[in-house]
Amino acid sequence: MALTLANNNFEVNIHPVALFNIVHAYERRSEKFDTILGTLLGTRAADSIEVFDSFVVPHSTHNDALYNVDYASTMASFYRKVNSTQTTVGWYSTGSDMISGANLIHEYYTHETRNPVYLLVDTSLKNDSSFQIKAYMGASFGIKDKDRLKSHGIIFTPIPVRIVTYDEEKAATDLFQAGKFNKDFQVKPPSELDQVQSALDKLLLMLNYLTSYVDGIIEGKKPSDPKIGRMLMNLINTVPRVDPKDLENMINTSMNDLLMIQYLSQAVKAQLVLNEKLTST
Amino acid sequence: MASNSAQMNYSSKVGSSSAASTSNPVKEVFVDAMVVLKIIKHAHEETTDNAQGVLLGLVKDATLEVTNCFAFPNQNKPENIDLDLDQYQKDIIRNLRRVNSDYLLVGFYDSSFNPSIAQAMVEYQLSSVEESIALVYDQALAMQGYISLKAYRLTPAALENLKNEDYFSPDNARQANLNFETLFEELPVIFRNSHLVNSLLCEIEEQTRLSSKSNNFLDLGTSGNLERQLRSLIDCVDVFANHAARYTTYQKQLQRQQSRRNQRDSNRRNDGNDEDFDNTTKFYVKSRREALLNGSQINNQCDNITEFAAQGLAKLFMAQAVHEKQ
Repeated sequence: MALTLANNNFEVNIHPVALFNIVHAYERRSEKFDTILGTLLGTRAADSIEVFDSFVVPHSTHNDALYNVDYASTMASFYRKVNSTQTTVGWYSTGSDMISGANLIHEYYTHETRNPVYLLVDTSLKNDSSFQIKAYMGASFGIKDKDRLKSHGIIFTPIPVRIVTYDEEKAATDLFQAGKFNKDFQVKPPSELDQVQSALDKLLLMLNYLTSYVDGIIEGKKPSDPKIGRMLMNLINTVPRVDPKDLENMINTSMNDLLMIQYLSQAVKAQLVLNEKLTST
Repeated sequence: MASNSAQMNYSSKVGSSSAASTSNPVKEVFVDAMVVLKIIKHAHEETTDNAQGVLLGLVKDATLEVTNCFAFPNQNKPENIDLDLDQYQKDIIRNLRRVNSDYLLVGFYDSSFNPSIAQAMVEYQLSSVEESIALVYDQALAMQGYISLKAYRLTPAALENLKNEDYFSPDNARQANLNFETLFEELPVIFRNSHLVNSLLCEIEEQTRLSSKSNNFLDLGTSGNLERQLRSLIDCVDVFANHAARYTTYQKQLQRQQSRRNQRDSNRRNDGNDEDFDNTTKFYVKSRREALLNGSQINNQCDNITEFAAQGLAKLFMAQAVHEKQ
């Protein structure tokens, strides 16, 4: 029995783009399909896989699942033209359970890449109505015949999944969160001052929470935790101790810079308008 | 307004048969969350040049919905030099069509605002979808936490003028009331998601709540971004000065030609001088158009700088207020 186990601490890091792509393709599937399949693109490190993107691959379900291999390879080559560092790292399917032809498809992907990961995204929201994202690594097992009869299969072992984001992606997803509770599910990108306001509101919220927590401990209502106490100390120590006059100076010079820049840009605009008037007559 | 037909041509460079209407009913642009994230990803990974790509979607009543997009590979990279962009576009759209994605080209995105946008817009707006937009996304600002995504469209007057390359004379421009401000119009962008996407957002929020450095936004260090914006503004103003100088030389040449012509007319001879005059006019006319585009770029950059400075000032006032309380 040849059994190769995946590494114990292998994990999958997914960017939200890949998940959004999957949901998008799921919403647009044709009626005869319940699930969709596709390829995952990303990079592979020693003990983790980072999934950056994904695209859907059409398949047909007669008796077996027929996977459109040409489509998969041409689309992968297109994506590679845009970013040559990202290659196929695995595949995904939607639904609450693994699909029936999973081992065949997984075998195809082991030809494409070394250790593909199989991602199962539950779009049916059946399991306690949460969006479950699971990942599996495949290991072949079975009795290897001399005649290579196919009496071996693939066993899928689950591996942990984490969602990671770039800073900008995090900012964008935070922006979209506001659209969840809107009447029409719409959210506008905020104007510049609105953003400052909302960032401040968030900060204020966090500070309020912290102060109420500390108050609760002082009054003895909550048990004190030395770890949190140490973290709070660290937090307070990171506030830089600057001489008030120096701070005043710094703030004033920054303000002067910004005001000057604003004035200059208005001057440039005025010159543009003037030039327009002069040259159009 | 139905502007797509079953025999849609994939390439955006072929004009279609729909009549060009002067008033555009589309007033807003709905953008899917997925499109925004894809643009962000592309801009983040494309470090050397601008990130450019195509937007796909559909037009519905008074709104333009952008539901999908794909990126153009960077043509300045050595392995991509002989890539046929048209063919690439056609292949990808064909493949996307098979998986029921929208295939109507509704515009393109770019990660900076430069005059070549105007030229590209002409082609897109002359093709089947008239309401095409250009989405401009600022990558550096986004790293500070401020997602800036703006949708632009050429005004009908600008479209008319830019369509006929030879016909762009200052008189025409003045008649159409075309100055650098009326070249582009900005459309409001709204993000809209479906229910399933919203539940995915809930899941993402749970998992990534603690992993963010989203307070970068309140960072008072604005000099990096400001320097970058000012530098590009300086470049544009240099070009602007160039155009202004060219205008004055043109005026001088014009006067010289006029006086020479008057002399010749009085001697009853007009030959080769007219040719020179026409050449100068043509050259000048072409540079007028560049000047106009440059003007609109400067305008846009000034607006951006003003916005950025306003934010910076707000943050500084805040810091001052907090400091005074101590």
